Amino acid sequence: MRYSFIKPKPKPPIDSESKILAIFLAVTLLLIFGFSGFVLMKKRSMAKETLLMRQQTEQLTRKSHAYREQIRRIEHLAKKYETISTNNTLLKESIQNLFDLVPDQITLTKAVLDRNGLVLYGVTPSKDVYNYLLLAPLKSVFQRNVTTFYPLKNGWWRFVSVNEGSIESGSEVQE
Amino acid sequence: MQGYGVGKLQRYFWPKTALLFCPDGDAIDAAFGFVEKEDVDIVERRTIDRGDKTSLAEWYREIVRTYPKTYAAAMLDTINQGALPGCGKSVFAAFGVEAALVQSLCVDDTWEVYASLVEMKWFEQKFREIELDLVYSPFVLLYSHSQPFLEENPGLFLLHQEGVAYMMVLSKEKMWYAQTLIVSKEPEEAEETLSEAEMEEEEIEGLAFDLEEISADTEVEPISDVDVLTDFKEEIGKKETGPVSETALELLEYNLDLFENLKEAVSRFYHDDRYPHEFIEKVTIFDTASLEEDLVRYIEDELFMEASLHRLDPIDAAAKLVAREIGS
Repeated sequence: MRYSFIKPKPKPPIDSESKILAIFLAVTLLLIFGFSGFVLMKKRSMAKETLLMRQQTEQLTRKSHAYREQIRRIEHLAKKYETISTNNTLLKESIQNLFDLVPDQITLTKAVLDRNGLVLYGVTPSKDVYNYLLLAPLKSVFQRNVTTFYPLKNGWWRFVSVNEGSIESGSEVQE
Repeated sequence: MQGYGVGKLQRYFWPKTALLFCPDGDAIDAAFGFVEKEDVDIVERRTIDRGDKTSLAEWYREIVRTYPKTYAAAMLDTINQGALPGCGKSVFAAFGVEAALVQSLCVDDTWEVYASLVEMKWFEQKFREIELDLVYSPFVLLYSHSQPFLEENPGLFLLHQEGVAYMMVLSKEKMWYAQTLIVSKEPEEAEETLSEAEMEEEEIEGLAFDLEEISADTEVEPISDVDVLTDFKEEIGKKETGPVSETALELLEYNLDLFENLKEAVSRFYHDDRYPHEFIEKVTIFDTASLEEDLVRYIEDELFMEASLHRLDPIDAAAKLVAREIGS
């Protein structure tokens, strides 16, 4: 109901100071919400990245384990290779030494060298030649020596010398 | 509680304020307050000299700087204003008022209040430094303040200001009659006190109509045969033992003048056929100046009406109107 002769003039809803305050408040709120949004987005992205990195870490750990296993196997193979190589060298040296032991008068027809010992087959002009020239060095190498002679028509002797328990084989057992 | 909280918040951040002023005699009663739902919480009052309108304007500017939502409300103190029962142009025609020359307002769809358009402009021009938002007629103020006193039978309500009184005959249903009573020569004197420069500035060549002319052809008859003046003189003689002071005599004269005017107006109400007739049994006087109880006694003794005198702060009354219009 109107009681006044004139109508009130429209007034500004807020004064200039309040307007500035409202703008400042709005900008502040905008910044806060913007920053919050940014932080939230960053957090989500970082969570995703963390998950991805965790998966990558797991994969890398698994790969690392596999590589470690592979390295171990290779090391084992290398060690085995070395052992075999050493053994082969030793064997080669042993064979070399063995052939060096055999005098010129004695002819070897067959030689079997294994872990247990050495079995030599050959022909000797006499038992004495064998005993003095071959058995003596064999005795120094092997612990047990058993030699069997078979006479030949021409007066020579075929022999089978079984030598067991070498020093080397003994040391191998110890290892 | 919630509404109260919001109200408080609104009051602190976007307060609706009002500067109310009522020209009264040689001074202007002004007040500033916060507009609330049903009232204006007055926080400062000032009484400014009528000639010193710049200080009022400065105060207004100072308030507006702080509170941009300030409504300036004033009470129109011009003489050429009145109220008529009923609404519409036909009412003006019936009472001989030129509708084109007045600014009018239909109140509660039951009665029309009007003021001379020239005087309205003159009033606005007088306070041109203040951007007026609300201009109230004293009749509206009286009507609003009389609401709790209204009964089924019509009662006479009088709003008295220094030198002028606004009279209305009101009942719960309608407004019966209204009249402006010029009590003494004070208002004319007040006009004389205006500086010549101010008068030139206002450039008032005269009013387009005169309210007094409306009732000029109505012959005023005395309501009783008793010689009122003689009676009063007798009473004064009984009471006072010493010499009567000049002020007391002036006051007595003023009261008698007001009483005579009132009697005349009542008589016009009873005899003018344009108004519906009904006996008035009660007179309620709202006084903004310093009216004595003598007037009540005169009314009771001479007019045989039940009379009561109430003090009225026009600022408080106007504050209620302002709150009703812009408070919600």
